[in-house]
Amino acid sequence: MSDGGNRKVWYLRHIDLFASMTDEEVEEIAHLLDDHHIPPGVALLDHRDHDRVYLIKEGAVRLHTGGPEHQVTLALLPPGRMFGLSSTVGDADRTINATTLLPSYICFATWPKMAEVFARYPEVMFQLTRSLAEQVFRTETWLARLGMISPTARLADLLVELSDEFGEPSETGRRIRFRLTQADLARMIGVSRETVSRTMVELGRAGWVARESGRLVVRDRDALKMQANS
Amino acid sequence: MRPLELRRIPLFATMTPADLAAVATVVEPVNYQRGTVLFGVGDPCAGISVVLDGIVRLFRRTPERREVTTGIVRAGGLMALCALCGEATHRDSAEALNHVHTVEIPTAALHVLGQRCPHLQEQAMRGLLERLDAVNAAFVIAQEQIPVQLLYLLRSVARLDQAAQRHPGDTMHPLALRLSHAELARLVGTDRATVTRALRLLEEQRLIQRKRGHVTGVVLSTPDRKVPV
Repeated sequence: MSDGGNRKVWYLRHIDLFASMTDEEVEEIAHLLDDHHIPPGVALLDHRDHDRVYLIKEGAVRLHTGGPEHQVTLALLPPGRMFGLSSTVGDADRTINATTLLPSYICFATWPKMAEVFARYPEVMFQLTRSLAEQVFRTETWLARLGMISPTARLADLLVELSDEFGEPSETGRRIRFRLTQADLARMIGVSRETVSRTMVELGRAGWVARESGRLVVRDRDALKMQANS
Repeated sequence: MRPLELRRIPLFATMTPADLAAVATVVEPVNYQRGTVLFGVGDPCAGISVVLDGIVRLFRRTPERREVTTGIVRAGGLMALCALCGEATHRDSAEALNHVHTVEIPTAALHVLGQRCPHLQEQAMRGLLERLDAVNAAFVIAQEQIPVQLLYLLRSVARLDQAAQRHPGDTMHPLALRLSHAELARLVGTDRATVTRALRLLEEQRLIQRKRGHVTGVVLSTPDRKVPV
């Protein structure tokens, strides 16, 4: 197998969806899927093509809906997640869009090819079902967060989640791997950008968060968690 | 439970008689009265639950103990998804909004049934995609003003009716479920006075119909009209 082929298999091997499969089985699946290296900030979903699904091998993708002024982030997807299974939210006039947040390796597949994989390997479908259930729970958590009275608690709770899921160690704490503006954060917790701005100043003064090279750093996760639960 | 009774559930609709017989030996039917809590966060999770009849509200509590509705599940819908993730306790709570009849598939039986019947997994995936769609929509709507949230909730309840799914249209559709202002306030996460004002606004816009204080009808679709708030 070529170097490119080996890398393809390596990535698939490290995704939960295929974790219980043999090397030969993973190699077989690798041949059915098309790899693409996508830089950050690229929109992925082509709404003219309803037959395509996507699997994140490396990087991160944001699912969102709404125009530039009213964009709502629906999910931040780490490696191992599949998307493209739904193209709309609720009513047909709310389409879902997907944009890379980091340099990402994304696998494109047509739905018939994925159905072929599922038919041959029912365990993969079982794992995908599990992954979808996780996504439902995650969105329910985001929805429940909107019910918190305190904007500070909402933001603290979100920052803990982002740090746990997408953080990398830095000298002063855990740095979130991609850039998020205050407007992005505001729309994820249902408050105004001004409220996020004020709250970030408070959390920064307390020494719990900071910005380094344009990215958020969580310095005291435990303190943020306590703030979220108070 | 008789195998053929299971056929009316979408999850089992395409199974062979032999597979249905296998499922019938492991599922447990349960009935709940209106207002009963089916399970709460942290309760032991023995398997996934499928709603046979009735309407269930899923919710979570914030640290301030406020309830947030995270889903409305109708007949054929899946609950207790924690079992699919191999978890031993529930992540959300569920309440019967009317008389509810469910079947529970034990966690141990899930994987075996899934391996034996690929259609079951496919149907489970479809059910999950529907849930994901609904919770995504709920998240978007939750950031709107209360009248919009209320209208969305009433339409969700109305759409649980099969006739509404066939004729969504812009005419008034009857609501089978009677919800008081206090219940609506709890479902949407606000107070009763705010609900009363919002319902008056929606009625003035001819988007809902009321009788003796209860909402009796809702217009299901108004794509060319935004709800004024």
